[in-house]
Amino acid sequence: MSGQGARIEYIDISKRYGAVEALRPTSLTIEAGEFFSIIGPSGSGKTTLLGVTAGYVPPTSGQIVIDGRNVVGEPPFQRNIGMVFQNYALFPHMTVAQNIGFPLRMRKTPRAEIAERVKKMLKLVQLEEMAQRKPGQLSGGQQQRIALARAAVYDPLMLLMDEPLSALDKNLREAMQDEVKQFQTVLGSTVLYVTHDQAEAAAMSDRIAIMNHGRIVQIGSPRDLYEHPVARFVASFLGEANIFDIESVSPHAGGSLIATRHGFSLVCAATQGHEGHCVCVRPEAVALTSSRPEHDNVLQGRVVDATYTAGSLRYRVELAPDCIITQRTPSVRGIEMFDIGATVFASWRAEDTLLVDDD
Amino acid sequence: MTSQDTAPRETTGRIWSPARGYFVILSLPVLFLAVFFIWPLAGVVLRSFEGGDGIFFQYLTVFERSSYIQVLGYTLQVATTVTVLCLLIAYPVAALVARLQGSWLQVAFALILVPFWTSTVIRTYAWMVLFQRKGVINDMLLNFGVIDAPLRFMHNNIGVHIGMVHIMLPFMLLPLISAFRNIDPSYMRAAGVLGANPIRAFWHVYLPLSMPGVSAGVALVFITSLGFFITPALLGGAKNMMVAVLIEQQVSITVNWELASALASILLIVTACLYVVYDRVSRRAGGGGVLD
Amino acid sequence: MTWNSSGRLARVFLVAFTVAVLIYLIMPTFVIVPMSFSSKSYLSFPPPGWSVQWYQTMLERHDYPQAFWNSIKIGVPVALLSTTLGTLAALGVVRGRFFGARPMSAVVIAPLMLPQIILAIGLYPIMAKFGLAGSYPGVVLGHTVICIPLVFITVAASLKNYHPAYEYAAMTLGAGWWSTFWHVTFPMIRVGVIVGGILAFTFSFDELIIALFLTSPETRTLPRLLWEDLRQYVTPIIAAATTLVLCISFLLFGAVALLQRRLSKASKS
Repeated sequence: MSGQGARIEYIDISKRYGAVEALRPTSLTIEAGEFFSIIGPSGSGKTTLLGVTAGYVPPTSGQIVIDGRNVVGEPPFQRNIGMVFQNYALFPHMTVAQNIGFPLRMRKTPRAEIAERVKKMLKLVQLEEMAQRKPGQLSGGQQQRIALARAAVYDPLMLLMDEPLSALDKNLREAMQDEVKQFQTVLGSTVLYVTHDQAEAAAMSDRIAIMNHGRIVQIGSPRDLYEHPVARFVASFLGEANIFDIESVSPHAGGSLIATRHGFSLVCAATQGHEGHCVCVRPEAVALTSSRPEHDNVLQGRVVDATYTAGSLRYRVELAPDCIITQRTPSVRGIEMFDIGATVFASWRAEDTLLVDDD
Repeated sequence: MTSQDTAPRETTGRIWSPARGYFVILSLPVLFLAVFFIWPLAGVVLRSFEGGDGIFFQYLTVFERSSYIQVLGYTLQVATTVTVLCLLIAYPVAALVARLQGSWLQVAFALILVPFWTSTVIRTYAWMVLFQRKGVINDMLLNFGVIDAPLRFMHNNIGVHIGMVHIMLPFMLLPLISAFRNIDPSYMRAAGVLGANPIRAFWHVYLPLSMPGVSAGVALVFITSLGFFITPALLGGAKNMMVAVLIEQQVSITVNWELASALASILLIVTACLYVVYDRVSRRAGGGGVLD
Repeated sequence: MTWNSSGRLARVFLVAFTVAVLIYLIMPTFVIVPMSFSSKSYLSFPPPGWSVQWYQTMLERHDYPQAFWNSIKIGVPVALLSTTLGTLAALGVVRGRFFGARPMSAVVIAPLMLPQIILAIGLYPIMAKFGLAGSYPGVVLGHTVICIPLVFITVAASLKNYHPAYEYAAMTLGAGWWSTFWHVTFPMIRVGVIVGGILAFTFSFDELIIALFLTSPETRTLPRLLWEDLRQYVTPIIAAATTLVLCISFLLFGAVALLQRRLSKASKS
């Protein structure tokens, strides 16, 4: 039961509903055994891509090639793809065992084999004692695991997951992330995981695609996307970002010198900057001090807000009227604290001044 | 893989899609209705242009003969009166029933639904029994000394109205009750807190919120009343005839299919227009059309 | 007088009015029941004496039993046919969401809103042309037209109660159209389908106008026989037949009430 994930290739796949382009022509390859996530706000086209892959949304154009076979045009029931739905869609009139056995029954698998494989699956998700219950008698987390078991019991080419954890409360959601990931590792499946929660995607995925307005904006590993966002949308969708609008860019000692709209001048390590960009600085990259430090970029401001959340301190510093920079540091004992209203200096390295597309 | 395979192409009609499957599923009943519903109606309309000089001969006959005009007028008048009576009776009853809880609500619902399950022929027969010269109602009225001689209820306006209101009342009550149950009682409390007296609160809050139910009930009762046959045929008199009764007589007694078809076409057009108008209005009101 | 006391008076008046209206809705129908047990041939209330002679007379006459069986023979196929077609229509309209689904649903609902006399005089010549006038298939087809919307409304309501994701799930798991319907959709809408079928049977069992035009003396239904008798003489035989019909109607009504209670309990758990 491992290593059977398929490689999937989307070639110019698109979907139009009347005048609305839900999915612009998109090409994408997901490697065998990869955990691939798609994140984006609602209406970004991620659910459409999922529906097109599963087969119940007919695409307007393009191909989906799974292990060398174009599946566009095939009905969902011939694709051999497993899917976990947002609210699990466990059949309420069937027992847990019947639910998991359903896809095997549809494939005319012999009774004895069905019973055996269902049992194996239940063992994998650690719910053997629930076999004869109805889904309505299970907790949210248990239903989630049954839905996973049902989608995987017939060794599908790949697993699609449509915000499978969104119905769970926060603590359970984090525990389930590990379970889903472990489930995938054990089975070796290729997973296409759709969510609007960037932290969830980052925790589980090998690679992430960020979608907006029906197209993929950037693909990369979670760290790649966070540290090298290509666009303002990516920078602000993934975590927090301080964005500065650019007035002009000029070359400067192995990098560039940037004049921002608020009149600051920032040093940047990158050389290809132009006016179509904006500047992004991550809150973690910023240091706050009470006296002016020696650093590539130093801006003076006044603390307007300080919050403490689970192990980290977050300051908001007003640099100029309607220009606020956010700073975050892990809260450790002995750290320098600032009062609201205090004058501080925000500083960061030239390498942390990121130039991104201003979309 | 050839380059042709990888080139983007419009996917053609062979693609599997759920919408196409459901279209096939829906086409079966629609086909059935096309043959046994649309075709007969089209036949009626076509026949109404036959059997005389000029295609509008039957319609001219209808509108020239004062007795036919009278029937159409009487039909409209009865439908209107029955609708108004039903609304006046059902509104307070529905307001009360909508606020019931638990088993009282179930009892009230059962009492309203029971007539739904009773054939119109039977309910009209019951009124015939009650309305006889020596029937229950006359007996009671005589015994209590309210009247000196038995009253006539049948073969006149009174019987038709009492019988039709009796049959149409559930059609008014059910949409009203469902509309009232959708009104959050906190609105009325809020109006009270804001200083509106009960009458003003009713007028400005309850009444507007109940309008979707009122329009649904009025439309249902009025449209159904226009085509009523059994009750006016049994309880009504020869002088006051409703249009459905006239159509039946034109076919079974006079055997004038063309004139009957013209009368039926008029009824069809009026009903269809009311239906469309009502659907538009109810959809604009945000309650969703009858079709949703 | 204060608001409070006049409010209480109004409430008492409202309750009394409601009770009176509910009695008005129910009572007339039940006046027939005691009359069917009258010992005399004229109808008076309360009956001068009790007997079951009218039931005996009814059963001895051949036309009442025949009409009763005709009504069953017509009602059952009507229920089956309209349940099938109405369920298909509801599936197509509620799940389809394609262009043109809305006007099509208007066509499906329309037979219920239209005066039946129009359909009756429209169907008669067509049935006559195909030699179906007066036959069982003729009246069955006629009743089915009007019963399709009854089934459509109840089934569409139960379809809207659950998300189409269940059907998509079944399909991704390998179930084709028929398997999806049979294993997933149907078990979920079963109550709606059965209620729709019972409604359709009841409608056919009580319907008069289509039956007047499309049945012959041999295929005559109970409502038609009652109607013909009513126009001649009002005897307690009709009361006896009517009481029988009422019993059947209320059995069906009770069945539907039970089904719906079970449904609402199931949806709560």
